Amino acid sequence: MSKQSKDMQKQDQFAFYMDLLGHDILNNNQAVLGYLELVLATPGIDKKTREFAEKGISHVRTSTVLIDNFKRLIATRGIDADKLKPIDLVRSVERAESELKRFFPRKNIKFEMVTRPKGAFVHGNNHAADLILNVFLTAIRLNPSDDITMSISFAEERFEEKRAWVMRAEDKNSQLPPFLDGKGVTATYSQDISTAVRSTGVLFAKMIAGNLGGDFEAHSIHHDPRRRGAVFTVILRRAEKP
Amino acid sequence: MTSVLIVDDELFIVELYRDILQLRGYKVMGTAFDGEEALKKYGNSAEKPDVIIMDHRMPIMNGVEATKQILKMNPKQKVIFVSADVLVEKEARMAGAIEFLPKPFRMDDLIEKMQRISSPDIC
Repeated sequence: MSKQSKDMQKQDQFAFYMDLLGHDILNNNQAVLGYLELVLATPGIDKKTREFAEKGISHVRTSTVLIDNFKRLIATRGIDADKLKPIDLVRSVERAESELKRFFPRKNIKFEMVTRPKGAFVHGNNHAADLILNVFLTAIRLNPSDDITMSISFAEERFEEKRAWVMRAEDKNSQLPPFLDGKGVTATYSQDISTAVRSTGVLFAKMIAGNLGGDFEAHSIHHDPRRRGAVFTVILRRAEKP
Repeated sequence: MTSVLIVDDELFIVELYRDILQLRGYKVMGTAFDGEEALKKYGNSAEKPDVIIMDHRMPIMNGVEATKQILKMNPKQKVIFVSADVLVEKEARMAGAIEFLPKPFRMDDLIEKMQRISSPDIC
């Protein structure tokens, strides 16, 4: 067996075990979520207990997204993005807003659409929709405030010689980790793996966007990285209206 | 009272569903830890459950196969499919599952689906 075949076999084996592991973690998340729901449904529950249970639910949901991200990374390895079903990028952002309000019931989340093009279709099927959700989830987790306003714009541009849709989301309160700012996501995680574990959402977004033939970046809006404010950019291949 | 058969290979998941469904006034008439056990219990039981909550990845016989076999015995049986594997949804629906919930889901969503499909208008 050639070295390449052996490597492929190892990768497939690894993907198989990770899939089993992810499945078990999701089952555990189900149990935690269910019992926290029971706590919330207890008559006469006090305000503080409710708050703690709701925070617990938010973390379970995030844990689920992380597992889903990993499964998605496995599923999108070597995929031909152009063959994936087109989705409407603007609608995916709108759906993400509703989802995030469920994820973070105690936060006041508002999406302001600076532009709202009609027919902004991109290749990527549900992989692209999940990428969008993941990007916003990451952005919100980098924002310590309870009031979150995302200013979102869309533009049609070219990326690697192909037509693409670009979504930019600006959050004036997001605080990028200092190791991330100014270097670009790839440079950051390839230099030191320990930095990546502190911001896996950013790393996953970069990898999944890449697998879909696009890209993801996160940058501070200031020259001074200690100041809050960041722009999250997702680039995906443009598709014709289905 | 709506009766339920729970099929899942994880004991703690079976316990969770049982705890919550009983609290909400449902009758848990049985549990099974794999598709084959579910088939046996279903076939041997004179009284059929109103709803079956069916997992997919289980030893011996998976949920899709068990759903097909159960619907062969009783095409009117209502099956809610629940799985951490979202890619199996299409297969589950083709096997005859009336609803699909990806794990983890809110128990309120499960209850809402149970109420909806237990209504006499849904066949």
